[in-house]
Amino acid sequence: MESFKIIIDGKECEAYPGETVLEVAERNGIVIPVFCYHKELRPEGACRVCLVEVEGAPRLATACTLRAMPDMVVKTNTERVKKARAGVIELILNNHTLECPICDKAGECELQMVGFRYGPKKSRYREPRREKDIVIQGPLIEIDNDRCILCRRCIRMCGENMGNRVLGIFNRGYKAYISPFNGDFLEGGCEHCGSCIDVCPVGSLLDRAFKYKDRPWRMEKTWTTCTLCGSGCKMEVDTYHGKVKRVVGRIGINNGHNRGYLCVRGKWGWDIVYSDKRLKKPLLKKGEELKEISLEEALRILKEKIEGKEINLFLESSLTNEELSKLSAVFGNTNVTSDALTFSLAVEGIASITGERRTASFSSTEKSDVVFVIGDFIEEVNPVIATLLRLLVIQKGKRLIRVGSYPSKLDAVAFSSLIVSPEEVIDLLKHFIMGTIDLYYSSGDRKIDSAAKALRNKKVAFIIGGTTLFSPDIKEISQTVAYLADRMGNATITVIPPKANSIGVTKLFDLKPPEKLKGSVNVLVNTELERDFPGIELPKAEFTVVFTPFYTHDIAKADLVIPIETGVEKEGKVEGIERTLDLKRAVVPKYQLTEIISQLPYREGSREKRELKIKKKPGESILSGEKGEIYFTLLVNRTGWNSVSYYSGNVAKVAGRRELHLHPEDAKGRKIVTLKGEHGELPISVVENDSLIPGTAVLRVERVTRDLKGLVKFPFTSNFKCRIAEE
Amino acid sequence: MELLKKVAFLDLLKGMKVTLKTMLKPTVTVHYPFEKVEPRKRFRGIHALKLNPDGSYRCEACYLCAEMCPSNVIDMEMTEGKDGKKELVDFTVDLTRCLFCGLCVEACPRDAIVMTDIYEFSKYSPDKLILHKEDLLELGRYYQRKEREK
Amino acid sequence: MEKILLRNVEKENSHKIEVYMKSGGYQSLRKVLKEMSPDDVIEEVKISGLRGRGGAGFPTGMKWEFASQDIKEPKFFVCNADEGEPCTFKDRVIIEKDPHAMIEGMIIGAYATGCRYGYIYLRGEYPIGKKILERAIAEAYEKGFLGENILGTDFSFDLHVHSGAGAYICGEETALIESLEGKRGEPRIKPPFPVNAGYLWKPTVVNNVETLANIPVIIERGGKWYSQIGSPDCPGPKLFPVSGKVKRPGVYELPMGTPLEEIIFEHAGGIVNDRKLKAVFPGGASSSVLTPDEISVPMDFPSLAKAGTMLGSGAIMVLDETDCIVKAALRLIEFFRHESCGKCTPCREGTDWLVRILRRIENGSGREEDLEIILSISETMENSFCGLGMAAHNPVASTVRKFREEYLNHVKSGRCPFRSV
Repeated sequence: MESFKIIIDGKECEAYPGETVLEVAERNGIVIPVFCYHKELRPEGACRVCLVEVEGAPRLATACTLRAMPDMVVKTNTERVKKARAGVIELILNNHTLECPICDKAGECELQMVGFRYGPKKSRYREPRREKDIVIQGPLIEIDNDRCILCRRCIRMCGENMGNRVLGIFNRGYKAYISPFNGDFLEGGCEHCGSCIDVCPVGSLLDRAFKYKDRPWRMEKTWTTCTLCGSGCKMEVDTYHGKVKRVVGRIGINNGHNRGYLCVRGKWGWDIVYSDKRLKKPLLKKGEELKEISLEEALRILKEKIEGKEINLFLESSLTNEELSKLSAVFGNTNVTSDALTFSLAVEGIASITGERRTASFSSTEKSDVVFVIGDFIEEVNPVIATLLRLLVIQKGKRLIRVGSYPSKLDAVAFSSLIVSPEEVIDLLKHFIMGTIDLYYSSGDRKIDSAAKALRNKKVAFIIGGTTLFSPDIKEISQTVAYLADRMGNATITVIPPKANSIGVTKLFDLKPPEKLKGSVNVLVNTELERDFPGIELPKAEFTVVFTPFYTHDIAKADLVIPIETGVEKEGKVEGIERTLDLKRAVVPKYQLTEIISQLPYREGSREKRELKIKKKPGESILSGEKGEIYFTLLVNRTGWNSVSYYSGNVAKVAGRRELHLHPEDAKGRKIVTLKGEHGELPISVVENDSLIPGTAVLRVERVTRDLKGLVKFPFTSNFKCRIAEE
Repeated sequence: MELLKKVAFLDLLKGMKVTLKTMLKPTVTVHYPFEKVEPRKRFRGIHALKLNPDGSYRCEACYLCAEMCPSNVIDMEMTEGKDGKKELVDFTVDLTRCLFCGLCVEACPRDAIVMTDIYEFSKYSPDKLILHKEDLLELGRYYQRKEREK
Repeated sequence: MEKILLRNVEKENSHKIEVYMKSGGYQSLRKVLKEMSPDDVIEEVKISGLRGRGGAGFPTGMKWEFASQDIKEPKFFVCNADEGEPCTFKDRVIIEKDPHAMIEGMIIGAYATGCRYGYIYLRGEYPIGKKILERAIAEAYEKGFLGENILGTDFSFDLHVHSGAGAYICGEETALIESLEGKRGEPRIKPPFPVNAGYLWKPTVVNNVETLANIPVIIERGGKWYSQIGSPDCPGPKLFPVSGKVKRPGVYELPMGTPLEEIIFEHAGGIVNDRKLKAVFPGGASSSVLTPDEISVPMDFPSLAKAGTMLGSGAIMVLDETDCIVKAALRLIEFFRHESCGKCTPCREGTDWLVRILRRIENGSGREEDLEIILSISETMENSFCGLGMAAHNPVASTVRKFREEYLNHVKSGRCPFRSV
């Protein structure tokens, strides 16, 4: 792009075509006050505070909507501009409530800052204040319309960037107010991502968990990484006197790859640290009961019990690199299983083509022209990644093609979304292999052909993620994708890790399925068997040690329980989707895993070199359905992933339901059906959902519980086969 | 001349000049602690939190007093009350550090924190010098009673 | 003089296609489709010098040219029949009495610009107009003037009536398009202009009813003939709805550039009871006021702009000596407060503040400083997002400037002098 010069306040600035004056000014350090403008949002031009004078133009123009033109001369601090700006700010302030002493935004309020700096020094308003006493309380978000300046950032954030359209404006003119439809957040379909709170320039949109809890300026700010899923979002944890008060993303300021976007788990899941299910002391099994003991005693027993024994290590993959390396040094690294097993299969599939166990970082999408997503329910497993993918389309104008077996939120912005039965996904990808290379190839389906045409000679970023990662086909799918990428040449593959450190676990350990573990002592770290290893029985062992932050069901099977830290108490590094991410301790925990483990003796261990067979051919689906069988996906809701809603009181308020989504053809009007799996059955209520394709079903659960044991078997929880019992 | 000086104890008188001058005036020192001085009208003693006529406290926990304080005396905890209003959980004034400058009173937007005329607050343990919300409200009641009397 | 726009109004059943066709209706369309290329039509309209009658006065030929040059498909042709300003009722006459002139104009315009679909955005308060328009469209379909392959040519055009929900702001073209798309009626950022990115972000021509009613005549008699009517800068006949304290209020068709004085005293018959004229709003509710000394101004876009006001929709509101100017200004700004969409701050908050101040002055508790505040608010409101906010303060600010004495009278006497106690 050819750059040109414009002059702002006498300073020569470089501008690029399509940029607005405000963007050029911002880059050159010239401050123009704004309310409705936000870096991440489409300009609206509603607040009229960013007025500037353009030489030759009769009227003042808003810098946020004014496109920079060559040889433009802009002035931002003439008397005329200052007067107009002060006039607008005066109008905003006239009826603004004077609640700064109790408003939670005071101190970081943009109205305060702009008002002090550019506003009128004296009020001329003599009328009684116009009160807009409309307070809308949701479970986690509150809208106080009295403080609202109607900049509509929240509406654009919710409707355009997040794609939810929950918030809207009601009434007209001076009576206008912001509200979710029907005044109910849950009914309006709110995802509770908290982005609207983040972009609100005043204290109108409030985090109810933080409401009146503290003052923004006195809190200590810690930038850390969320470990509640694999998105690895950078976030700011605000603490006061060692107690977490809130988490903010700071959209527009945040320099992490998530750019400040958070999801309900990141924004409100911090209170798992203060969960009432937290373990307070180490526990030891004495007879039938668990007794509290001291840490020293627990360590002494542990040392005694593990000495010279082969250990079955069950890892949850949101442990940090430091913790993992300590664990492998103490417990060995050969006899390990983890919930990252399917992720490692995906990496293995890619490695069988490319020759290295490595996936591209998420930023590779920025450099690509087309984003090719293979995955279902990314918006549930990794909500922030789904948002970022959506923004790639909306803000950067990239094309998004999605292949999957279930409808997704991403379909709304996708150039093409191809939804096929799980067993046909690989065949579909093979059409692409043919279509992108052979110009005259026709798959017989116009949709596939046009999508394949869109890939031709383009830089493509492939993304595999969501529940597809838990499909029995995952290794084959990733192998096919890698083959396609290899044939195209100019392509990258990213696998979205489902948990914070899935990549790290895969790198450090040779993961085995739990059945193949052959040790005599079970060590479970940070895991919950039902959640991370559904359908798996703990191997018979002499002794079982559980390292967990919470009272889990596994404690019943444990001989020794040792508490560890969780959430924002963690410190260290994780291998995230973007790069190695830093975790900073916001709160100091009582028990730290690394400290506890370092007191145990290290054992000599040797790691076998993993061999890699390279075979350059696409995979073959191993799924095959019989008649009457249906492909089920066990989907843990957005709120329930990593058991957040179970431990966090905040998130529990917006927790989803457990329900089975069936196509009307499959549901046949039944309200309750019985699912029959390989080892058991489950009666469950049905929701008819005609956006599904017949023959597939989604079992949405908030938490994977014991009764699902008969249906699913670790490691595959998606696209497994079930029958619906005929009455 | 020299002699006259000696005879008339002029030097002595000179030396006792101040004594003689103030001898017949009323005493200004007091026998503390048996006698106590009434503090001046704008004396700055220990802090108090004023109350509304209905018995609720005026403080809205805006934290401005603590922000103003040069020696970090004030700290507070707040939360959302049952009625959705802002509620003060605790308000601590650490008298061990306070220099009674009165900036907190200046800063208060709700005229909630005031300084009483109490200047005797020595305690046996430094812990007791940290005033909490209840102590401050009790002092506030005392302050307002005094105000009314005036 | 000869009636051009209102030529059919007097006839019985003038809204029926038979009556319209008997008086030479749809001949222009036939001529256009058979003999003229789209560029010829645009050239003809450009020669005629027709300027938009909706208020802004943008040359219609130029607008069509921009739209025809855009390559995006499909294009849309929208007729702005959302006539919501107080005292403006000129479009209603055409909609109810001569709908086919407008429909014919639309089809010609669509042919010239290459539009496939057309919408008439009708004001929600015109239910009779809606019925008449729907019947007229059905008639036109029946006769083959609408639909596929009109009159045997390749040109196809479909027309629909969309009834608004009563928001004045939807008369603004971008807000109209948003409303047509099913969204909240709020103006969009310009540029891009609707001719390049309008309805569904496709090229969209938005023309006023009266503008379109002019088109068949221009085609029939030629742009040259048309350009000689009225004042040279903006020729053509214009409908002037006259209301207020005149003896014969109503819609008058007069050539552009007719002096305001002539309209009020000759055509509308002068002031009721031969009282003295006090003030005139020459271009609808959002125009600046004119005092009796200024009414010799010719009614066309440039002359009124020179006089510090605007032609707008051409609605003339006449106030006589018994009217309170503060009350008039209050009434108008109350309308704008009610109709402000609330998108931009100056319009949303400014109108409210003006209403509060004027209400106070009218009730007798005004202060002298209020007048300065009114003027400074009006200055801030100049920076509004769309035309509504930019013009809403005009009636107030201009009355404060020109009738300062009367405002001060209110302030000093502590009551409205025109109100009987």
